[in-house]
Amino acid sequence: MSSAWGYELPVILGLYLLAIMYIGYYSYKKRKGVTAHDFFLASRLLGYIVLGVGLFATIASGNTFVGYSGKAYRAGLFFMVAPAFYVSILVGLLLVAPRLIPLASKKGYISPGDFFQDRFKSRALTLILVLTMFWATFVQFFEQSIAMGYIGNVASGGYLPYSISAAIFMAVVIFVMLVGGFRGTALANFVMGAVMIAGMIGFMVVILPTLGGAGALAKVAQTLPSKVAPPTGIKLTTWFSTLLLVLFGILCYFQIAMYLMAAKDFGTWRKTYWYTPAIYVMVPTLFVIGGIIGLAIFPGLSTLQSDKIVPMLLAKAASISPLGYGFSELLLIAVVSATLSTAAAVIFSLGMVLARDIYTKYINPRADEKRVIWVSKGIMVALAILGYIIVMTPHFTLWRWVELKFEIGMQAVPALLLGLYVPWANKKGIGAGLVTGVILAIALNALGYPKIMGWHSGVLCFFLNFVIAIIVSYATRRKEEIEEAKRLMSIVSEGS
Amino acid sequence: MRTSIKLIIITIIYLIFATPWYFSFKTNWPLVLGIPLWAFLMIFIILGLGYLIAYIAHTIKPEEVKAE
Repeated sequence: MSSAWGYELPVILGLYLLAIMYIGYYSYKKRKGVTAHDFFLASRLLGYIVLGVGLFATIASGNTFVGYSGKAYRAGLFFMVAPAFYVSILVGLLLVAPRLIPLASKKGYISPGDFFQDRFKSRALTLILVLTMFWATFVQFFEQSIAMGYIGNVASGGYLPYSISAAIFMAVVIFVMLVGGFRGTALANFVMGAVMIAGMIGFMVVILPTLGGAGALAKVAQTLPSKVAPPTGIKLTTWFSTLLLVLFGILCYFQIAMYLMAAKDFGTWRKTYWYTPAIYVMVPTLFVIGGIIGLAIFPGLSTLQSDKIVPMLLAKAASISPLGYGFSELLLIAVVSATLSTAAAVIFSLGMVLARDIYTKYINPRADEKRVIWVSKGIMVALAILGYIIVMTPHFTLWRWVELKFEIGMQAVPALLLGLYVPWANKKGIGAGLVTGVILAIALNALGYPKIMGWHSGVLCFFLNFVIAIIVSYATRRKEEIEEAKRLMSIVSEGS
Repeated sequence: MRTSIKLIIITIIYLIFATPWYFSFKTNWPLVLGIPLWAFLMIFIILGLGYLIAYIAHTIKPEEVKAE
């Protein structure tokens, strides 16, 4: 595959990475003092274009750009569920944004733990909630390492060995995060998000037609009709369950909370909704189409081979026409962008939360802001080194990682939703539901029941968690706790 | 309408209509641009729902969000 690309690809990639590093330096020059507020949230000064495109780049990971076509190759058009669950992310964000953003702004929250501690007044519950969310975010960190494994030497045209290209990628991410803080990470993600969108437009307009377009798709419809059949019965249940899994599961990511809390106000945030639905539909849909075209061009691939279908399609398009070659290179840069942008946001948010919610709250409560920033930087470097030394053969497909992280991580989400909307939701109810949900979700997956009658076990545990949280909270409600929660919520009503 | 009720309704509407249970035709034909009609329609239904969500987001006025 490496023979498909010329020497210009690693040169372009190198220049691109230098430009990304410059954004980190530019952000350093634009910093507003050395405060946790500025380093972790860019002083809440980012506009809606940077926030929306940057968040898209954060959400659309190497898994989206490498794994989704592979999944579509195996599952067929059932994986049209991908654009549906991508847009469900916007629903999930809308459930918390109108309250969390003004609260974070007024109360000075920087991390999810700040909200949990303020709302439920329990260090133990806050710790369990943060650790549950940590699981999901940390699995995504592993996932990015695996994705880098797939694209490492392909994106450099095969001219750089994987170990060197992965080290370069990680060095770029670390430089942008440490020097630029959240401002640098978000601005770099914005630029990478724009490159990803440009790459996808090229994929749609040039690469897919070069690979046969509608003719190749029609060939699959004729030769493999089961791959394009509409879902029925238990598949429809799984489709519905997947929407629930992602809609609520996305809220357990630290980096999502970080982007929400970095918004100046809800009015700024909702402006992102004017363009994000189009992007969230277009990107996964095109990768599904790519996977189906892959069925026509490369039939009979194994599961692990099919996870590499995107690089195979790009090499094929590059061999057909010069235009296909050029746009395939652009998409390779976009694949690198997808991986780097998600890795940067994930590592940054992990460093921020571990420093803010674990170090400051449980180890050194007297630490000043500069020390917290330095601790977070140390954690980010340690995570990047860990990411680099991860050498693993994936026993799961990329998609299985997505499901596992959400199934456990989403058990923390009832605390967020009930904490924001239900004054009588209390630590006893949230704790009872959370512990039950996490234990059951782990047990069902460990016992070999990832799905029950088409439903993801984590989704069923989530609803049980939710019901237990409501019942126990109501049964143990106390007037003074309710009054205190109402006072906190009334802050939102003062406007933002 | 209270914001929380509005959000619950839009969530339910999205979940119902973003799942293709309502296509009465369980067939791959006709094809539109090489893909079956049901899949082609789903792209635009999901896009439409996405912009319905955007519209709802813009009907929520921050100062109206109160403790309910």
